[in-house]
Amino acid sequence: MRRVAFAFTALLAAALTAGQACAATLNISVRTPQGTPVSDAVVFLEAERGAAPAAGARATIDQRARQFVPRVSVLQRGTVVLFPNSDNVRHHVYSFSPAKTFDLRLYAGKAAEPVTFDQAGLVVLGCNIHDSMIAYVAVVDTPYFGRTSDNGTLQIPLPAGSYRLRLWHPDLLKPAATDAVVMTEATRALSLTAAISSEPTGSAPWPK
Amino acid sequence: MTLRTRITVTFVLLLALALAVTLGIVSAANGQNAEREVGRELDVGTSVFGRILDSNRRQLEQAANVLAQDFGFRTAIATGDLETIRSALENHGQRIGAGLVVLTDLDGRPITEANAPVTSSDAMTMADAGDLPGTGGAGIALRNGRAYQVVSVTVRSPLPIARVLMGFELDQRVLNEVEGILGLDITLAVRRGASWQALGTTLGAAALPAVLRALPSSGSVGRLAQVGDLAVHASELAPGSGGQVAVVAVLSRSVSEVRAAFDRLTRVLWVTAVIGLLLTAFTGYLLARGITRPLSLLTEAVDRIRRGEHQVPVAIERGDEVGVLARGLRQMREEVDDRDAAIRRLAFEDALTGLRNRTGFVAAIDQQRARAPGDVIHVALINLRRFRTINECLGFSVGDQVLRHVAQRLPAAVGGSGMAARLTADQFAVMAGSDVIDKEQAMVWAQALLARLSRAVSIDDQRIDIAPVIGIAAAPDDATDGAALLRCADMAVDLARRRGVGVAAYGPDVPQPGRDQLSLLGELQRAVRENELRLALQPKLDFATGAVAGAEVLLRWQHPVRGAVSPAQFIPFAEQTGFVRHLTQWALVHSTRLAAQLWRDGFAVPLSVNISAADLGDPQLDTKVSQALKDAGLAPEALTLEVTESGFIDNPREALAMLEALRAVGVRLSIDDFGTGYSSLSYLAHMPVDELKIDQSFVRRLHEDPALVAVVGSAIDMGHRLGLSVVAEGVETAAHAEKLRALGCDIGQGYLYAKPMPSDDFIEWLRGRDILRKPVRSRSAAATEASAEGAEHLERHALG
Repeated sequence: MRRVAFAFTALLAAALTAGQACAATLNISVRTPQGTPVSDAVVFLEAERGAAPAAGARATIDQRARQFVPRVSVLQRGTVVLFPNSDNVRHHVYSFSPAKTFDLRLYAGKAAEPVTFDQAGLVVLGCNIHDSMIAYVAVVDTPYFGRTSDNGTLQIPLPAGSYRLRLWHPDLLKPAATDAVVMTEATRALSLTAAISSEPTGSAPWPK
Repeated sequence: MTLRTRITVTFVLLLALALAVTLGIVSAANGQNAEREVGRELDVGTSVFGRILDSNRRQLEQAANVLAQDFGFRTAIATGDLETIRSALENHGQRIGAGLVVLTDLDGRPITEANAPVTSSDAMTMADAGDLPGTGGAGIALRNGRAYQVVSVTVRSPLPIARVLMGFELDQRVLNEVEGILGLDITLAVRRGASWQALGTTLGAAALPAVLRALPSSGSVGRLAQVGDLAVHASELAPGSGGQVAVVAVLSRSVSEVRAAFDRLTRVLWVTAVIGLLLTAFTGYLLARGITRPLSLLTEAVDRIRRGEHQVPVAIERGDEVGVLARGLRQMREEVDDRDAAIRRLAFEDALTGLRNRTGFVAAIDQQRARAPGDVIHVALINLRRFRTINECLGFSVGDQVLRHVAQRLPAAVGGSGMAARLTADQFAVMAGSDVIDKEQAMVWAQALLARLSRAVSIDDQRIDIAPVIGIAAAPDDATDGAALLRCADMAVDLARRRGVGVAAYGPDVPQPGRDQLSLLGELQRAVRENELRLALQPKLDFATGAVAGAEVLLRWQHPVRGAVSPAQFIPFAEQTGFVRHLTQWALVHSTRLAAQLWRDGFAVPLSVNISAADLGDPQLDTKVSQALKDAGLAPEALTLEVTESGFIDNPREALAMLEALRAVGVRLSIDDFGTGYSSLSYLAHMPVDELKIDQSFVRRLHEDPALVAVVGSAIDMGHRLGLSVVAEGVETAAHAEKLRALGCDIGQGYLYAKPMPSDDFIEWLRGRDILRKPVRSRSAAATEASAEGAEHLERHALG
C-alpha cells in the first residue's frame, strides 16, 4: 500500500577530455525528488575491468548508546572490520546475510575478534540482545565508493575512465538503475535523485 | 357486624392492602428486574468474554514473541533449516497448548507448520481475520471449518523475514468453558455470503437456527432483539471486508430462566403473604376475643343488673381498660343499690316520724295477706281531732312535734307483732298483733290504744290535749287488701266522729258512700260528656204576692243503668274530688241557656245555680260565668249564684275576692244553707251578696222549737238590715209558710209549692202563674235596664 512510485534519474553532465590519466574528483549530491538531501546513501562506481580486493583495509563499527555507529558503512571486499563496544552493556552482533554470516559476542571493555568481509553484497547487522540495533554494511568490489554526508554530498577521487555507478540506501523504494559514468581528468559534479520511503523501512534490497 | 369481626376484618384488610401493594411493586419490579438482569448478564458476559480473549491473546503474543526472538530459531530461518523450524514451532506451541503454530513469509504464505508439513491444500483463511500486520497482529483465523484465535509476530534477523502465527482453537471445549464462566450460551458464527454459519455453539440444536437468522446480514452487531426466549448479544471478533462482520461471538441467555428466579422469589413472597394473613387473622381474632369476651361478660352483667339481680358479682378482674370498666360497673351497681335502698326507705317510710308511710303500711299488709290469706288482721286508723287548730294556732313546728309524740307512743301500743304507720297529716294507722283475733278483742285493743294516745303532750311547757278518733276494720272480713282495709277503717273513723265516740268498728251497718267512688268519677266524667245530666228546677215564691220569684237549679243524673241518681250520692263526692267544677260549669252553661229561653218565652224567672267551695277556689270562675252569660245571651242579673258558708272556710280571702269579681260580672249572689256553718258574722257583713237562704233544718223545726223562731226571725231581720233578700228553704207546710211570712221572710222554697221538676215540666208549671216583676228582656236587649230593675227589686225587699 505504501509503495510509492519511485524514480531515479542520473543526470550526467560530461565535459571530459578522453585519454587523460591524472585523477579527478567526482562531486555527488543525492536528493529526494522533493529536493531534500539524502544522507547515508551509498554510492559506488565499478570499473569495467573490475578490481582486486582491498588488502589491509580496516574499518570500525562501534557500538555506542545501543546503536551501531556508523549505521551505514561502505567497505571494499576484503576489509577487516573491528567491532569495539563503547557501551557498558553486552551486545551480540550477528548477521544472517549471505554476503557475511557471523555472530560476535561483545563484552564491555573487551576487544573482539575482527571480522573480514570477503564477499561483496549487503550485510545487515543486528544485535540479538537489542532488537532496535540495525546496521548496514555495503561490501563493494571497487575502491571507488562513498557515503553521503548529512547534506547529501559525497566526493569520490576517481581516475579517468568508464564506470558503472550504483546507488543504495536502506530506505530506497526501488532498486536504483545502474548508470554508466565516464570520467575525465576534470572534476565533475553529479546530482542524483533517490526516492526514499518517508517511513524508514530499512529493507531496501541490494542492487544486483 | 360484631366488634370482634370488625377488628379482625380491619386487621386482615389492612395487612392485605399492604401486602397487595408490596406484591404489586415486587411483581412489577421483578418483571423489570428480569429484563435488566438479562441485559446486565449479557453486558458482563460480553465484557468478560472480551477479557478472556484478551488474556488469550496476551498469552499467545508472549509465546510467539519468545519464539520469534529465539536466536536459534532465527538462525534456522536464516539458514532455511525447516526441520529445526518445525520442531521449534511444535516446542513453543506445546508450551501454551496452542492448536495452531505456523511460520509464514512476510506476505502471510505458510512456510511450515507445527505437527504437519504445510501442503498447498491447506486452506487457511486469515485475511478474513484481518491483515495481521507486523508484530502484535491478532484476530481470528479459520481453517478447515475450525476457528482459531491467533496472533502474528514478526521474526527479524534483524530485518523482518517471517512471521510466526500462533493460535488457540476455539473448539467446543473452549466454548463450554466460556459458558461455564459466564453462565451464558455462546455461539461462534462466520458469515457465508448473506447468511451465517455456526462454528460452534453451546446452544441446543433447536435454538441455534433462530439465533443465526437473527444475526444481521450487514451492519454492526451488538445487542439484538430477543429471539424467542433468548436475549442475544453479538460481539464482533474479526472484521470482514467492506465493513462487514466476518466472525461474531453470540452470547445468549434464556430470559425465562432469569425470570424464573424472580418468579420463585415472588412465589415465596406470596406464600409468606398468605401465611402472614392467616396469622394476622388468627391473632386479630384472638385479640378481638380478648376485648369482646369481657365486653360480652359485662353486657351480661349489665343485663342481670337491669333485671334486678343485684347480687350477681361482676367477675372480671383485669388491669386494662375493660377491668376499669368492670370496676366502674361494680361501683355503679353498689351505688345504685344504695340509692335504691334509700329510695325504698323514702317510699315506704314517713320522714317526720320514722314510721311507715301509707304505701309501706299497705304493702306490709298485702304481704302478710299474701303470706297467710286466712289470718285475721285488725287495723286501727287514728285521726287526731282539732289537729288543724293546733297547726293554725301554735304553728307547724308544734304540730310536727305533736305528731312525733304520738308516733313515739304508737309502737309500744301496738305490741310485738304489730306495726304502726303515719298515713297523712294527722292520720295514723296501726296493725294489731296476732294476739287480737276477733272483733271483741279488737275493740278492747283499740280502746286501750285510745287511752294511751289520749294523754296530753307537753311541748315547750305547753299542755296540748290529744283527742284521737279510732276506726277499726278487719281483714279478711271487711276487706281483703290493705288499701281497702284502710278505707274501711277510715269509714269507721267517720262513723266514730258522727257518733261522737272514740272508737268505732267497721261493719255492715257503716254507710258506704264511696264503695265504688273511683268508678263513680269515671261515670261522672262520662255523664258530663254524654249529657246524662239534667236540670231540675224548684220554684221560689214571693210570700207577699204568691208570685214566682225565681227557681233554684238542681242537677239530676239520669244514669243509663242505675236510673236517676240522687245529687246526695254524687255531689259530695264531686266536691271532694274537685270534679264539681265540671258539674258547675255544665250547670252554668245549661242554666243560662234555659234562662235565656225562658226569658225569650216571656217568663222572666231568675235562676239560681249552686256554687261549691271548690268552685270559689277556681280563679277562672268569674270568666267562666261571664262567658256562659255571653254565650247564652242572658243578662247577668237573671242569674243568681248560691254559695254555701262552707265555701269560705278554707280560704276566706280568696273566696271573698272571687265574690267581688262575680259581683263585678253582674250576677246576683246568695248565701246558701245559712246557719249551718261557722261563718263569721263580720265576714257576712262585708260579703257582696244579695240574698240569704236560711237552711231548711231551721225551717222544718220552726214550729217545734220556739228558740228557733227567735233565731230565724233575727236572721231575717239581720238580712234585711244588711239589705239582703231572705229566702227560706224547705217550706213544706202551710204552717211553715205562715210563720215565715209573719217573721218577714221574703221568699219561700219547698215542697209546699213545688218539688224540683224537669225544665219542661217547669215551663208547663209556669204557665198561668204570676211572675214577680214584669218579664225582663234578655241582656242583649237591655242589660242596663235589667240591672237597674234588679237593684230596685232588691231595694223593695230590703225595705219590705
